[in-house]
Amino acid sequence: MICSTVNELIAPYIDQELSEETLIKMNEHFEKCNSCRTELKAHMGAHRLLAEKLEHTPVNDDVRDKIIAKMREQETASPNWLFKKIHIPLRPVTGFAIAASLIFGILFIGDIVEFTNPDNTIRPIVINSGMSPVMPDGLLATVTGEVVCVGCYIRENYNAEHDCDIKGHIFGFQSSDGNLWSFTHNEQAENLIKIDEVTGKKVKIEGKLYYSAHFINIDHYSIVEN
Amino acid sequence: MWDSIQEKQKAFEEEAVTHMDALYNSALKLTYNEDDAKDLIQESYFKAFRFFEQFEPGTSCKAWLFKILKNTFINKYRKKVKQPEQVDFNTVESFVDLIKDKNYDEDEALDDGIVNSYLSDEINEALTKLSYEFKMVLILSDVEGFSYKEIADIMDCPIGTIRSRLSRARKMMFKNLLKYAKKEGYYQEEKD
Ligand SMILES: [Zn+2]
Ligand SMILES: [Zn+2]
Repeated sequence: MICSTVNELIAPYIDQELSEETLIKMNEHFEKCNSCRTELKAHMGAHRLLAEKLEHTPVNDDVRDKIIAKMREQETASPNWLFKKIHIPLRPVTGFAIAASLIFGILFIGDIVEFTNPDNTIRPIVINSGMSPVMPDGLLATVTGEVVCVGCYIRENYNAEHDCDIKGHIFGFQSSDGNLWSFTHNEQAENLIKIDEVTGKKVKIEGKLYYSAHFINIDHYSIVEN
Repeated sequence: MWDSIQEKQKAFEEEAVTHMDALYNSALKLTYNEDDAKDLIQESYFKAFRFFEQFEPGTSCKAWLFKILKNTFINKYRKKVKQPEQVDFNTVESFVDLIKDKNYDEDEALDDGIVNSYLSDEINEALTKLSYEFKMVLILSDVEGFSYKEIADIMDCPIGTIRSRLSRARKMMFKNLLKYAKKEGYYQEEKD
């Protein structure tokens, strides 16, 4: 093991997040390398200092009681609200209709949405009306646009009953012509949405467009500098 | 799942409300403001309660709550709280180099009596220098003791990112608290 590798692994070494095998290699290195040992000592000191001295301020009882009381007041809230039907009015944006995708697996019947699968699996289904019949599915294309949260978008624009604070955003793509797209789950899409603060980033995507479902299969993407 | 709202409330209070101290403590460190911290946990708890069906029994409820807290903070409060300038992710400095840069005046050595009040001010001051991404990872690891995997889930980041942020956050904190660290024996300089 070289010093730079050891250095990167000091935090997980201290936090006991390394495999046995790596741990042994690290120990061997520390035995013979003075500078890494010094580094380890300093990192351990920092860890200990923070763990012992970072202040812990408990919530005061008044606040706690108030929150609990308010929660008890919410008796009217249906625990199964996810199952009720909601309406999402779909309005055409540009040439194609807008696509709306939601989490939990959704069955779209006209404008009526029924949640059928609340088992936490993220399975965005996209609906679409008023599509252009001329666009073939699987068309290779390069499109530019912005990464958006489809959930936030349909909530803000159509009052969809949706809250991203629970499970995070449902990232999708709005091409510069205003169309919304969901990503097929592949490595490229995974990498793209893992980018910090990805929402609003201008992106150029090369990939296959599935117009009838408004899914985009990213072959390659690049972040466009603003 | 629950036969009545009362049952749901009972389950929620047993599983979730017990973690309110931890959430409040983090909220306070994120917002620097008691009122915002109260609002933030209140909102997080309301959401958690409303969506309690989605919590998977057997997994960590505390981690689930922290994820909701983090999302609520990002979506609503982050813009409000002034964030320090982003530090360069790519500069990998060792502790030893960081500390070498900092001139430490032996004459300024601290009096025992003022050490503790000094420390809490200094720690809070040092924390304000961390941007939210670093601070959150530091709290989740060093205060709350979550595993890297749990932190990665809460923060929606790969484990590698968590590892480097944590390492970086500890270094930045240590640099700013060096005087205390030396006095209290958290760091001994190598004598050559
Ligand atoms: Zn070494
Ligand atoms: Zn969203």
